[in-house]
Amino acid sequence: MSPEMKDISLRLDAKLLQFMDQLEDLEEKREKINLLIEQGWFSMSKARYSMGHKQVSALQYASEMEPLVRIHTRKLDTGEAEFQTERRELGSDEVENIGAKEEGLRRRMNKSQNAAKENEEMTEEPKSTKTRHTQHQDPLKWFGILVPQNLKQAQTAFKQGEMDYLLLILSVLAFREQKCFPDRSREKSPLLGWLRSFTIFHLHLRHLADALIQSDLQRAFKLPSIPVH
Amino acid sequence: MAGRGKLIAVIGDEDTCTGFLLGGVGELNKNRKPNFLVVEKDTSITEIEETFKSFLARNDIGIILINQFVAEMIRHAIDAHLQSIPAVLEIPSKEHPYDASKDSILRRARGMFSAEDFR
Repeated sequence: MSPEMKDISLRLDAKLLQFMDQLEDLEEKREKINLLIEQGWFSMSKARYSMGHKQVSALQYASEMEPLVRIHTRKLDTGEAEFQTERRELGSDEVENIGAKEEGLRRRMNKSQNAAKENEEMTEEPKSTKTRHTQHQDPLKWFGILVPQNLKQAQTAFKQGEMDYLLLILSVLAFREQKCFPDRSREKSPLLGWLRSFTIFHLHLRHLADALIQSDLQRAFKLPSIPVH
Repeated sequence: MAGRGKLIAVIGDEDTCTGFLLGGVGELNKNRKPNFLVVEKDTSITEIEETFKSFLARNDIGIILINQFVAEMIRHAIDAHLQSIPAVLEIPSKEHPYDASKDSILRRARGMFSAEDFR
């Protein structure tokens, strides 16, 4: 076997091993994810059971949504894509005020004062709604203020699920790029370029066939080993 | 890292969408276009396909999560998408368990090892 061929075989073996590792990783993570999502659904169903069957539905989604999770993608020189997550955590100080906003005792007002105050409130209203829209709301609040613990558990499961999905994608993508080796033009040798453009399996099959033919010939005709180029 | 990150889009049944939106992936942009599609019983395949293609065309989406049974409906569109970004990932749904033999990525991987599946 020529040294060039040997080098190719070694590289192919390394690629095949890497591929198998990634496949295993992928399977493992998939199982974990599926479990997490199942857990999430179960908790959601339990929440729905205690809140009423129409409670946790698409109709209750907020009219304004801001994503709390973003991902950064980057393509590496090797053809693999790298993903990074960014999760914006809601500050604990963002407590929504519920109920009367006035502090202390309310004073009774006469009619004219009351009308003036109403006018004031009317003018102030658009401002306050605007500020409310800009701040991020926990999606949990779409479904009510005092939601069951189960819904919170569902949220945690799905959050965890997302993170794991992102990790999963890392392996998925690395794996996808291996189908065809894209940098065919970069190869100096035409043989290498041609070989690299093939998939791993076909090459291995060729090697295997060569080896089999060689050993069969040896056995059948008792010939000395034939060098394969 | 520089620039704004990309979004995760979801196409799936109500429970899947609700779950992921609870996790905080939902967005309504300035044109009030959501980054998710709730597939109901009466949602047409054309609508799903159009939404999927519009998600592919948007450059602010990095990952598309899609229920496997929905993916089955628009399999040709998913198989035609070969780029790694946005990445399309098939996930199980409540009524339909995950079947690895249908997954487009795993089918592609298997195609590397058997001649009849090779595309």
